[in-house]
Amino acid sequence: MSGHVLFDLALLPRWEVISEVRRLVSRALERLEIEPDHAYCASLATHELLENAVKYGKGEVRVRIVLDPKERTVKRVDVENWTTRAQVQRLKRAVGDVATAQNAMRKYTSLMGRSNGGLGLARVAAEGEMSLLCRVRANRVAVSAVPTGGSADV
Amino acid sequence: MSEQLGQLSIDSSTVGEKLVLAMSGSADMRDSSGLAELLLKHDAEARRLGLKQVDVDVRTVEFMNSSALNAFVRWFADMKRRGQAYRVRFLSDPSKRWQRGSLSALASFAADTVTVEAVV
Repeated sequence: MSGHVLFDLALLPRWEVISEVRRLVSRALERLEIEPDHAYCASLATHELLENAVKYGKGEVRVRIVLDPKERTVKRVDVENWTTRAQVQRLKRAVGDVATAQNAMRKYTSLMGRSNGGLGLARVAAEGEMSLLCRVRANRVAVSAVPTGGSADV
Repeated sequence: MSEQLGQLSIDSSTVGEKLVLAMSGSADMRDSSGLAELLLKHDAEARRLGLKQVDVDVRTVEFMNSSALNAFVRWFADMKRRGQAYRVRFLSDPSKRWQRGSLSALASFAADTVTVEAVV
């Protein structure tokens, strides 16, 4: 794995911590003078992926932010959690659905107003201009958001 | 009138033929049904009073999660279904990055009714 890990946080799945983690990430990236668009996209991805993990996961959630300090950019945001087999399948479908969309913004607006989920993921892809990847090992699932044009390099 | 939904404050007032919803704080609720209900309540009031415009001032809103954005979409979808009675204008702070991305996506959902105005 290349890049510098800025954060590798282990969290209890509590709704109250989501915004605090987003603010922490945002402030830290600002102080490190990370390119502002990258900083915003990373904090957006942190928030939306963490919401999914807290909503649908079980037990500890891990959040990892990987930087390219030379370029002052974010290489990727990883959020990892345990969940049920059914949720793993649901998440894989939702990530695949967003990842294969021809037009991320059109996909995002098409999901608006529906209640069948995936909106947060679509928002990360459209507004955050990030690609999504899903890795599964048993019932442990990791979703990575990588700035478009970047490499997951896991 | 002031209302509070989690970390989001909403002050509503009527100015002439316009309803102003001034929001501040952070809209990051787990369940956005409270926000959706509140928006529909103001929609009903705007219709009852025959108002021509609703201004949603989000300049001091730090962040909205996708669930909160969806509450607005439900409002606009309901407005489309029942026929447009007024226009909606978001007053935004372009220095807040989420507002540049999210509000344009919201406006594209109801382009004939919703506009976004950057206020510096």
